[in-house]
Amino acid sequence: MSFTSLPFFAFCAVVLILYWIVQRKEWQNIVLLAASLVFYGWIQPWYAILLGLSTTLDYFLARGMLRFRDRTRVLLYVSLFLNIGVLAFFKYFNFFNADLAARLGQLGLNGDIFLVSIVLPAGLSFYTLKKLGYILDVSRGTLKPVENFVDFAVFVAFFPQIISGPIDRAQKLMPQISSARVWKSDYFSSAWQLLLMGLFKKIVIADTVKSIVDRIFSLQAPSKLLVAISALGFTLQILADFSAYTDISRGVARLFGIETSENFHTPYLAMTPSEFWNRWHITLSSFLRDYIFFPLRRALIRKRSLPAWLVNAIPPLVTMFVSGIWHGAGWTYLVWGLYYGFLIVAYQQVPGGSAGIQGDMRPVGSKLACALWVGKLKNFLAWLLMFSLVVFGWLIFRAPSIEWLVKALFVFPWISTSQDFIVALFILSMLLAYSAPLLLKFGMDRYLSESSWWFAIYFALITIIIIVYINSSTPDFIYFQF
Amino acid sequence: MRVFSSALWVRYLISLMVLLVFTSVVIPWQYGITYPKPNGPKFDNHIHLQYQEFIVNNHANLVLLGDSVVVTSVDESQLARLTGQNTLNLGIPGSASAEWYLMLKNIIAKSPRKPHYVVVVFRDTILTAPSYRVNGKYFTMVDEVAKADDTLVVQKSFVQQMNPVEKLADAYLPLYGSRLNLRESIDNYIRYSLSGWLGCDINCNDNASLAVFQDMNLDANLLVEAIATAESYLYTPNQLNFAGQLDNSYLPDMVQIARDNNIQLILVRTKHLDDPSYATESAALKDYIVALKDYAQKNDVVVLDFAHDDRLTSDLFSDTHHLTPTGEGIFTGMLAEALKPVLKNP
Repeated sequence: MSFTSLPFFAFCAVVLILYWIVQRKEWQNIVLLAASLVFYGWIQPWYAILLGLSTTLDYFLARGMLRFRDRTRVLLYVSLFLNIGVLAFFKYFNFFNADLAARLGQLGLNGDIFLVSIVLPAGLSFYTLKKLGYILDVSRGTLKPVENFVDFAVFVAFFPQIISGPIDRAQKLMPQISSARVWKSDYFSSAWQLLLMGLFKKIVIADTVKSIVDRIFSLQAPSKLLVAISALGFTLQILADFSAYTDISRGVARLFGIETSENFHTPYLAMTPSEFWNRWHITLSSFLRDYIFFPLRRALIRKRSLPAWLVNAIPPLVTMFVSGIWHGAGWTYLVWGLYYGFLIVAYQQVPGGSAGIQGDMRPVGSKLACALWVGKLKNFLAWLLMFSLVVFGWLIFRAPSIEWLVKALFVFPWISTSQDFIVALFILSMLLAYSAPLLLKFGMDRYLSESSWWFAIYFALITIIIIVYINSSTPDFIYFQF
Repeated sequence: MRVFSSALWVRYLISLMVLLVFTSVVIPWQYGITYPKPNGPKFDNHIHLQYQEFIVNNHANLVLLGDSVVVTSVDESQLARLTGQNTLNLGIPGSASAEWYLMLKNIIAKSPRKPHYVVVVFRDTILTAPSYRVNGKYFTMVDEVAKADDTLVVQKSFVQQMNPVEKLADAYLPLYGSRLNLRESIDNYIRYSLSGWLGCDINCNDNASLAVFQDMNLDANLLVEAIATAESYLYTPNQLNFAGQLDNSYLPDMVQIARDNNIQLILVRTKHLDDPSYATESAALKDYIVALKDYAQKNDVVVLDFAHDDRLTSDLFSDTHHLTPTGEGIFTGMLAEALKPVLKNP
């Protein structure tokens, strides 16, 4: 059930009616849990079984930590082993499977006989991190284990979040899940614009831009010009796509009276890699920061024998490496993660650190108007550099393979024919057209009051455009020639 | 979390109503549509009659229909030589059952000189998937062989797939009912404006896209993946239910048209490398094919099944579905051999 499909909204409507009819918190949570399992099991019934089993196990492990304090570490290791093990098995089995099958093939053995293909359950990466954060906090004693199993299961399986986040912490969601909820009109007031923006970004922007970006990345040897423009296209596509899911997820959660975290805060205005990660997929970044970066850094600082540069370099490298492999099983993801690790380390070397680069003209804040033009120019260049690095990062992320990427950088020509230039112009006009509504919204958010008529007109216009684009996608993809 | 006031919600609704009323007046006027609009798209009356000219000029006695698989798998002159029948390959890349039905109904059955045999080259469940390859760019292809009164195609390929909400919106909301035209206008404006200002017109722009994205420039593995993704629609539980799909499909209509026009309908199932052998085929697909053959037998339709033929080895394929020129020669020979008992002397 896709977030942008009619069945999803019909499903939400039914669940919402039931949820607000039952009124009592306990029943509301049972409705939410049942809906979440139906939603998740809709994709594949065994996904719901896996989710149920792993949730039950973590519930009892966390409870066990409270009861057997001297066994906390053992219980934590069991949970870590199972959660990371399940994630690694489903996420990376096929990656190594293909590699192993190829090696067996080289030895004259049919690898397929020994190995079966494993399908990654949707959302596993997201809810595993949710549970891991919970277990780690309980083991550290910073969070009390949840008593009520249904409440905990709702926290893990909450259906608006299960497929693509945000990866909210128990500290944020559990107090809301455990307390009584009564319908307020505010819920709707904060939800409708999120839902509209989410639908607009996904149906109108992401899906349209994707069709052309996919085409370029399907070419064997596109020119550098086309590669560059398609990387720019993917930069728009992935922001629109991912933030759309977050908006819809937050909007739906809000209708249930539950406030979830913002995941994107104008990430392409970042001026340093660290700032980018504080603005991009914020809930993942804060998870990685709190459970990998900080503990690792603390551990390294305690080892006084290590030189300072190593203490500064290892945590971002390891954290971003983990971020890379979390995003997917493939060399491109791994390189992409390391790329950001190295970028963060490199930016640390700039005199004055991150603050030195950001200077006085940060894109958000009242200092904008006061900055001197020299500062403005410096900061514009700093932003441009960072934005270019982000676009290059997305090129690594989206490249079909590392081999293709290396060829794109060093072998493919700058322009193959004049036709490349025309296609690049077409893609550029597409990117300008489809990024314009987002830029307009950004400007309105900054300069207009929330009660302005312009917001009403903007949302009405995007509704009209959604109606035009819904179910009208032109599958003008490579398959057309088949 | 940002909370908009309820006043904004009211203003939004007012703005939306104004825009909806405006579009409900302008769009019907612009596209000449009356409301409530009949569900589904509207075909124009123009059809490509050159196909009929090919049939007449070639004295075609055996006509092949299908998608790019038939284009790359059957050499019409070799088949004509081997079978002794004047043969015409009318395969159209990207076509599917809706287009094959329309070709049979509007082109072949209306031809001044009708062939005796129509061979439909298909794979797996495509014959009973009426909504496969009919939207977006495919719509233009279907429209090329459809007339304005081809309501069966509108019904089976489009309306049948709509849910009640869509039907209502399609009939009473001009914005939704005309969304394909509107979308095309927006796409074209975006696509052609910038290059147009620089002196590259629509043709120049389209030619550039065709040149850059031609098949030979595509990565073979990614092409195979894209094909598999698109074809996955044919293997959903609904599509694999022959009895459930039969009445929704064009197969009974094609059988009837062939019968009414004294045309022997021959269905040729091709091999593809996703399911190269009987063992790799799913139980549901096996059941589907048994049911299809049973239906065909009851309706005097010949089915020739090459799906698991060992003579078509993997080295004869250029990708999972298409044959190499060598494969084309071998398959044409195999087809001629299988057709001989079916064909009467010309």
